[in-house]
Amino acid sequence: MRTAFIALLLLATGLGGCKKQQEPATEGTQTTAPAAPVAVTSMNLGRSIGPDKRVVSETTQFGVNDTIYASVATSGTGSATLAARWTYQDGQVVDETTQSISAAGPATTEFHVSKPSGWPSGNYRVEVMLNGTASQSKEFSVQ
Amino acid sequence: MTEMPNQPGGPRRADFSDVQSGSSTTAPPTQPVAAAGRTYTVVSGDTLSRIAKRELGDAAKWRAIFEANRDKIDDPDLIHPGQELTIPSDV
Repeated sequence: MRTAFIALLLLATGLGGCKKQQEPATEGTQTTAPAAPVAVTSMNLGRSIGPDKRVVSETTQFGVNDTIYASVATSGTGSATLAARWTYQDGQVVDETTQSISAAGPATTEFHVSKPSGWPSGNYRVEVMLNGTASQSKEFSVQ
Repeated sequence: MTEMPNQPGGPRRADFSDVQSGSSTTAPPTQPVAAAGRTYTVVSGDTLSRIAKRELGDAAKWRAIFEANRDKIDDPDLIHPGQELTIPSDV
């Protein structure tokens, strides 16, 4: 009987120790992951886009009559301003377009340019800016 | 393909005056107002400020209309007669 009592006492003490270890290290605090701000994750170029705003077939070589699409993928949440700055050869500005977004998660934003009279052949560059800061860029050529 | 001489003896610069551009996004509109507003049809001469003054009593609330219709308006200075806009009720 005494042995059984001691065993029961040890078991109860052990259980108490296990329970103690499961408690959070700091009481009264909850760890909630802060919402990540909008960030550019990738940019792809192509001649066409799908309903999801992603380019159908990625390329960096275009024809003189192509519409050129830049598809920009973002992560994070909140409001942000994306801008695409298109330049030619030594930096001559072709176009700059701004798009405001209010993202609730991953999103895709497309920018496109076309030139009815045909693009001059040569090398081009598109730079994507997030809230005024250069984020990603890609070079492409028109032949 | 048009290239124009910029300065005599200077580098030749291309003419991009006819470039057309645009953008669109999958990001949702700023405010979910579709169910909490009424519809207004733009008439000739309307501006967002005039609509805000008439419908909301304050021209300064044009931005609320703009934000509620971001899926229809890219440029707040450019709306068209016949365009149907949502007038938010919670501003």
